[in-house]
Amino acid sequence: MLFHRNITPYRDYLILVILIICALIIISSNHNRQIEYFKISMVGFISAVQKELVAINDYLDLKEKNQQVQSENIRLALENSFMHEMALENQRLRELIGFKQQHEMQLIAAQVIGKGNREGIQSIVLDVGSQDSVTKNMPIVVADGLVGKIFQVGGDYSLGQILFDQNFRVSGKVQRSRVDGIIHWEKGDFCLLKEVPKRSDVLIDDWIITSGYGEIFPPGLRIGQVSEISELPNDLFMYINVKPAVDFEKLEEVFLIKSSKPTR
Amino acid sequence: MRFIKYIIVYLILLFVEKKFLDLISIKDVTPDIILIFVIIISLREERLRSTFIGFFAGLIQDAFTTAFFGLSALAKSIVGFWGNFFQQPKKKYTIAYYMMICLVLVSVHEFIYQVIQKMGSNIHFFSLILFYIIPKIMYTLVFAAIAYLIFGPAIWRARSTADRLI
Repeated sequence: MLFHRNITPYRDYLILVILIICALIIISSNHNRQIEYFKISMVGFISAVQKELVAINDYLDLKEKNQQVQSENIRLALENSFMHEMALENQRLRELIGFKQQHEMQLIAAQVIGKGNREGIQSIVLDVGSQDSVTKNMPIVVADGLVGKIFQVGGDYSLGQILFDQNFRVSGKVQRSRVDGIIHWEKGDFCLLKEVPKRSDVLIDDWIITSGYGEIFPPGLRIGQVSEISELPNDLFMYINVKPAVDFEKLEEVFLIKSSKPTR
Repeated sequence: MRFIKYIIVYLILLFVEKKFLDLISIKDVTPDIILIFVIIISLREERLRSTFIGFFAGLIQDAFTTAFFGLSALAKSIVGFWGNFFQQPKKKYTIAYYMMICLVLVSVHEFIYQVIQKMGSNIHFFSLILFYIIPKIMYTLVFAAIAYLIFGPAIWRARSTADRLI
């Protein structure tokens, strides 16, 4: 009773302190399974609403989309026949030189149904989940190149972490000179290729691709193009700005790389 | 009934934030409309309620980002708590007073959020303030002013209702 009377004037402060401690405990246990489950449930709720709205939108755009799909279909059919010829020629040449490192990618198509946008924290919500065999860390790509990777998976939706996220890292290399580095975003419209020693062979407009050193991203995916190179007198490394190959403003359909296994 | 309204408004804001806010981002800076919601709640409700609302509003918001889960909850519970000190039970909020409250609370929120979020990165403290904290504060304040112009009288009336209930 005495304790209750003593504590009452400070009740609000006490509750605030308890909530702050709770928040700090949650922050320090970010990889806990229960916390991941909570995040997945929340995303599931919002993505369910978003899915319905996307469906309405899709219906309204159906006629226009149909025309686009038809013309795209014709273009792809022509391209496909041309590429089939090229693949056959490539196969013959590979057999001749005994090349055995060709990879075939199994892809899962997904639609972007939401985007998270806060400085340094960027994510996309996709309409595929564990029911579609999506797993954590699957690379997300489009035809232009690397988009990011999956970091949360729900039943029929998932959350992707994109290149423009300050917690995202991918090992990359300069396609022409094979110089290695780490791609990281800090701010603005460009990424940085870090850990590249001074006087390395890097030129403006060089393509940066995934190196495939980690277990997540297969090698050879386009990340972006070198747009600016600078050096500071007291620094051991170069500052290389990379313009991402993907236009993140226009992301609608993406693909997840299910596996990247050798074919032969 | 009031809390059901809050939940509905919160869910709408959360949906708008996730779906549409990137369309109006300026150089990746977007206003934190959930924060404005928490500030308004702190001006309407008693301290304990606004602290709890800030905490849970932040926690759910955290579920959609790759930042530390619980970081928004931490910052917004402090805003919900502190915002309550600015309540004027017998007076109407002028836009100048309201904007001053928002400036203080948004600054506190962004400082806590960005400093912890960027901890360990090689971003200089000056750059953090100049490129992350100040733009975010300015953009959020613009939306706070819009919220006042649209809902100002409603904010004041609801606070009076809250007074009667307490």
